[in-house]
Amino acid sequence: MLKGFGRFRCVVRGTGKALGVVLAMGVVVSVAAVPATAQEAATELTFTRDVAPILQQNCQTCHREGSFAPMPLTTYDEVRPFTPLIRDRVETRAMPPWPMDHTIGIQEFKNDISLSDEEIATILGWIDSGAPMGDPDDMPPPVEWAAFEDDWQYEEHFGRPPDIVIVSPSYMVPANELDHWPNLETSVPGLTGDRWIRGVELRPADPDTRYVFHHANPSIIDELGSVGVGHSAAGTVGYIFPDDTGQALRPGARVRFGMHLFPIDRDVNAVLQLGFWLYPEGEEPEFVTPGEVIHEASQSTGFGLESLSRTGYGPARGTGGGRGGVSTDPQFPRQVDLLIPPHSTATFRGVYVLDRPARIHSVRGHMHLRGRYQVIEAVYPDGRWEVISKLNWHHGWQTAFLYEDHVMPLLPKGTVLMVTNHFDNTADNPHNPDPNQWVVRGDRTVDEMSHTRIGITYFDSEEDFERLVREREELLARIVSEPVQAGG
Amino acid sequence: MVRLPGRTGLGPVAAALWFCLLAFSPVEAQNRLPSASGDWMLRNLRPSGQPVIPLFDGWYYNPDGTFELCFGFHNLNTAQNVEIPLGPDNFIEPARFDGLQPTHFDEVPSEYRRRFCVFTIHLDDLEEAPAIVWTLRVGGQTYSVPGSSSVHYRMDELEQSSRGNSAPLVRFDGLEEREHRGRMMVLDDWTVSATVGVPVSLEYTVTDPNAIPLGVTRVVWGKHQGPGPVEFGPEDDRVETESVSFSHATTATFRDPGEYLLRLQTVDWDLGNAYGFHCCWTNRYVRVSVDEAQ
Repeated sequence: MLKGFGRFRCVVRGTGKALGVVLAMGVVVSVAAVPATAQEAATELTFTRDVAPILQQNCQTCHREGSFAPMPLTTYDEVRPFTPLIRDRVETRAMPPWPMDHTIGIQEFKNDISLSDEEIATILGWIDSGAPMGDPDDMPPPVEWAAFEDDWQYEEHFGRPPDIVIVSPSYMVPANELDHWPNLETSVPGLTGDRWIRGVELRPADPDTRYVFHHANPSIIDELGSVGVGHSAAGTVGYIFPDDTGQALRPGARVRFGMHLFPIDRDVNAVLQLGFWLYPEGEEPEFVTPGEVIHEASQSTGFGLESLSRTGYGPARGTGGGRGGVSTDPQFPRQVDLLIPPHSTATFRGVYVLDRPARIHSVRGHMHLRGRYQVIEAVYPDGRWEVISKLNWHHGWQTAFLYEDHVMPLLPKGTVLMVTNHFDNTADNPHNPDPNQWVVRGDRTVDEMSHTRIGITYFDSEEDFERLVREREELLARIVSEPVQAGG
Repeated sequence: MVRLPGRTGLGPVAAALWFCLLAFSPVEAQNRLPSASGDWMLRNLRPSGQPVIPLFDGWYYNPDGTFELCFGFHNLNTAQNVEIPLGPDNFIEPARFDGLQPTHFDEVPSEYRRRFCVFTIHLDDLEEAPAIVWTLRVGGQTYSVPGSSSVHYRMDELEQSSRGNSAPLVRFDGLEEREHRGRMMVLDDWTVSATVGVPVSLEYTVTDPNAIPLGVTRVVWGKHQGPGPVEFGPEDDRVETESVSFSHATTATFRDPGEYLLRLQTVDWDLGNAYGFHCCWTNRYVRVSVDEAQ
């Protein structure tokens, strides 16, 4: 767990959570901590001593005055009326929002905001025993929250505010219109030489913008072309690259903010801020990442269609091709071929063959209202087949999942990366606006998309990759040799 | 000029077709609604032998408070145009809206793989939308799609300010004085005369309604209805200009005599952005009466 990853977005839970022991190249065997049952724990549980600390660490980022959750959960009086709802949301793991399937695939993430089994048992036990307040003296002091304008989630991790903050041009979102998708450009100030990005965070610049901000796909534009950086949506804060990896930021670069904004009942001047944490001046990371690369489930790059990047950063972007190009053969599947019949479920799979070794450091799904889940799998050259992650899609929470360094999948050249998306266009899907419709690919929310953005670094040198594999094996050997403390 | 909400008709051609349709008495619309189709795996496209899927694109407000429903289609054949005459294999319910839909379905376009909003249905009350169903029968299978009144299916029309998209003004030169704009299905009173095998020139002028340089305009021709194949030259064109207006010409050549309805879409900007966001373009229709060669 990454310390200080936003003070209250993610806390170090240590052995309280399932401890993932990573075997070769990301295969995970979980030794689950055994939680106390709700009934066992119920007898002594109180709000002030047992529950309030959990809420402070995991819920109050959003559930407090001045934030955007529907109700504050900071005092006993605020929490008590909502205990039936809280019980349901906690037991079903709907809250805190962490739409990663916890039963399969890699489970260790830098930004995991889900509750541990132990925390869930505590909350359920407390509610089931009548939700007593307890001794007021046990109540922890209230959290002192940073002012909205100063609240950079990654500041604690990096130990400082962003090195560069790029403010988007202001965009007026008129009241009660349909959605807006402006592309707004601005320059990057203060660059005198090549710099390298270690982390990036995108945020609304003011509280009003929160209400109209759906998502943004910023891009760095320079003489080599454009490459995405810090794509963000509800549920995503940003990205932190591995310690040896960075994304290039060159003098003269500009940032284009591709935004999706949805009007509300009043005019709003929307402004976004993009914060970069940089490697020290003059320091160049060992590896360069293109950031996230889109892998379409309703399209494949195909075999033998590898193409070099126009940008020099990595694979070509924007065509949904992952690593490689798109065939001109009309029969070759493309993302716009997505078609889901009425009252049906549908499954699409994109297949990508790595022409170089690679390391995955994050995944973020993207579907719309009919999306149910996304599965990312790897078939290794030696035939082993691994589920890397399964994202249980929720359109409201488009989380970027940042793998812990020691579980980032290391994929040899020739690995087949598969992205499978499953859609539900039946009446059983509560988000489905009309199951009588044929659903097609489109930018509107009512149409569908089917891609996974995979944060990835490609290695041009086999030697580099083999060294990383050796280092991983050594690290895992050390972890395995240490005693596992369960339930602590 | 005749607006085509279904209540005013397509003129003599459509009136005759509607009469035929009434003769086979389609059942109530609700019976045509899609039923459960199970699980569906992608890779529907084949060179031939695949169905044509009718699609509901969405609806938009007209300035007078009425509504327009947009329908398109997805031909899943990469190398086969499909003809489905109006009748028991191609009909809209309720019958008063029937006859507006295409009978010719181009093979999947190479660039953006569907045909968007190829015709519209005019409604005074949007709540009627779910009861309006377009059905195609292909290869023994039935494919239907209803309209929807869901706000999720609301579309921008004429302008999309955040991307600067705007439906162009289009005028057929020498045939009309007035320019038209937007997707509403409008059929003028005039008819172009043509002869089998002899190219007929269709000249038109495209103008930016806001008097700013057009930039890129896509021009997409297609046969909407008619008895035989039509060759366009060119069928699909990309015009880039710094002017606020340009004039162009396309030829259409007919193999068989009869009454035809051609469709022109002039799309602001590139197809992906306009179609992906369902705005903005202008639909125009040209009736052509084709005689046998002398």
